[in-house]
Amino acid sequence: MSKINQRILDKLQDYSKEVQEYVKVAFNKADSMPEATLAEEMKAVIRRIIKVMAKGIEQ
Amino acid sequence: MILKSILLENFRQFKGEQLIEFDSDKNKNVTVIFGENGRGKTGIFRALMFCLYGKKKLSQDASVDESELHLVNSQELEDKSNEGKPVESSVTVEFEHENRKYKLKRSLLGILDEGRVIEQNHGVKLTIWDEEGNTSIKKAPELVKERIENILSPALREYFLFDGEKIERLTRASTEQRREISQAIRKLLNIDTLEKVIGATMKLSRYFNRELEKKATGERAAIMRLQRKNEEEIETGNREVDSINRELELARKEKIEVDKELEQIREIQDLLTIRTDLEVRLKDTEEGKNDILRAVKGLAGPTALLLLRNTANNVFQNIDRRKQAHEIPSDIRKDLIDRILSEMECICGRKIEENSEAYSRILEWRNRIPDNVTEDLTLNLWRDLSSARDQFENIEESAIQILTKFATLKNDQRELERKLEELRMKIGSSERADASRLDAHRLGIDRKILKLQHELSITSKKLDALHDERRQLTVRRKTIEDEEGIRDELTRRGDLVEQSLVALNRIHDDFTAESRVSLGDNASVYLSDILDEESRRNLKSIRVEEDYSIQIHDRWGKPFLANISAGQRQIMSIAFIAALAKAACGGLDFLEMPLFMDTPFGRLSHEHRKNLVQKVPHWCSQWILLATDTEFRDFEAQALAKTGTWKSFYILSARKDGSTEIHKTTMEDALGYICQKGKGD
Repeated sequence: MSKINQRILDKLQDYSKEVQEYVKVAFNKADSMPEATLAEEMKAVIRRIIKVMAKGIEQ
Repeated sequence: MILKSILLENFRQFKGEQLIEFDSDKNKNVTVIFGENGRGKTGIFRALMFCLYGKKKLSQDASVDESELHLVNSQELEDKSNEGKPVESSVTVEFEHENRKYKLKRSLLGILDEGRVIEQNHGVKLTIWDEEGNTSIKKAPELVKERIENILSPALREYFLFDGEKIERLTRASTEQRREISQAIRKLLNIDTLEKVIGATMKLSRYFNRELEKKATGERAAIMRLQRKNEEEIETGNREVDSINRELELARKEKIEVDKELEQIREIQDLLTIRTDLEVRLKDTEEGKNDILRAVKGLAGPTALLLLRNTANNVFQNIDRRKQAHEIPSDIRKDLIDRILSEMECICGRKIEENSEAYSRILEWRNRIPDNVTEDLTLNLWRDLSSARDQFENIEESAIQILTKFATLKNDQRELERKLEELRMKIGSSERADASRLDAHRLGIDRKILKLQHELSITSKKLDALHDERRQLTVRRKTIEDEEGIRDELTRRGDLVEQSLVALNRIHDDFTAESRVSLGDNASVYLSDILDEESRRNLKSIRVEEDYSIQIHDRWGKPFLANISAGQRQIMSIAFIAALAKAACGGLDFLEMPLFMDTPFGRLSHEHRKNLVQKVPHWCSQWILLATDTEFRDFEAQALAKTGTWKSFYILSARKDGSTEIHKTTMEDALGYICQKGKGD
């Protein structure tokens, strides 16, 4: 990840881990695909993040 | 990226193969390429751009038709044209980037066909050596392009590899400048990527809201409907803002065009004044000629008399001669002689014999004496002719005067017509431009811009209110969901998207604002490094405004851009470019990129030049300076030498055949050469 992307992501520290994860993954994918594809891809990412979150709550 | 070398083969002014090796040691990172105007400095810059990006045109060639721009060496083309063979021209650049070595060769074929140069691409080859020594080769132009643009994207290259034109353009307060700076900042700071993520998240937000709305009931469903309506209104508002901005841009562009036309008109205004004056003078001359022609008509009768002048003179002289001889009027009257002849006796009383000699003489005498009537007529004629002779002279003098005046006016007319024709050629098509019409048009554009700005402000406020409403609706929905204990998975997914969207928008706003401030701060530091002492006292900081225009502030914090000199503008541009380059490298203190500057010193004072040559080598990993003999003299060379960073010096000189030869010398030899050259000048 470029230094600039890292600087952007550093600003996420005040947000929840789920939001941080969402933005991080979206950033990693964004360079290699158009916006509409990114939105589709992120649906699966959101599902995964919510599942992990649910597991965390259960534990 | 560190440039290692550039090899030119029959490229532009460079006939045959010629090599430049760039210095890139940490402590010896400056290469100076020195040549008079027209020797090929920009040719080297062009070669680098051509090799890396396949670009034939530079920013300074904006008005040049690409088909008229030839890269193959013309001398070689001439030489080979007799053999009917094409000439291969190529540029090979070797560089290093992130522990890999690269060798890129791009070729062209050129041929001279009936005096016309035809050029075509002849392939590109990129060889890459990785850290382990593995070699890979790319020949497909698209793959080469992708690889090179990943190393230095076209949006950023102009901030590392730039010419004087670029420096000049950056400080122009125009829409283009703002757009260019805005694009550079967005690209440099990866804001494009951030905005793409925001766009995709908004799509997801709409998707989840639609899905949730299908299942929602009661107040929650009502709020969701309001949310959907709100989103639709935001979308409409955004489209309106885009449309107004597009119209604004067009109007501003049109205004620039009108200003250019008006400028041209102002330039020819003096010529138009001269032309009006000449036209008045031409009209006066024409009228003067007409007056003369009328006067000539009046002279037609009297001048016809001049045809009789010789005859009249002869007659006058004849009478006058006889008058002088007292033949006219005669001393002896004719009736006395007639009486003597009838009485045959002289007045003395002596008889006169018929047929005597005395008788014959008296007869002869009688015949010579005119009668009284004839004598009176002759004397009258003598008097008339005497008076006419004066008239002849007057008529002749008047005729000569009029004809001379006519000839002078005719010459004047020819001269005026010639000058008018010259002016018409100079004025050309601009003559058609109507300044008052353009002024009125410009006023119309100004009104349109004001109206659009007003519309933009209203729509933006409307959008702000819609965003507030959106936030309130989100909070209300969340409250209801919490109260009703709705925590199904779809809701949680929708929540995550909403929270991410809020976070992303905040990051976007913060990051953009911070970046503008940081760019301004960095540029201000560079500016302070290179400004001369006097300028430094007044010019305190560079700021990137909200609309992405660059502004310079004076010591009282007031905008001062409009008042700075051309040299100060150039210094400000270089400081800003350095700050952009630094931002592109992730804000590192030291740029891992070459700064390749083509004739950057044009308008700079000695102190500014000295500061530049002393500071730039320490800003970047490599400085390649292309300089003319007028901007890099003994003073600049000595200042650069003192930095201890300068090693190689390349001189571009003319060969006998007009092509350019590149000679490499050391810095020490260069100092001697420049000193000698300075003395020679």
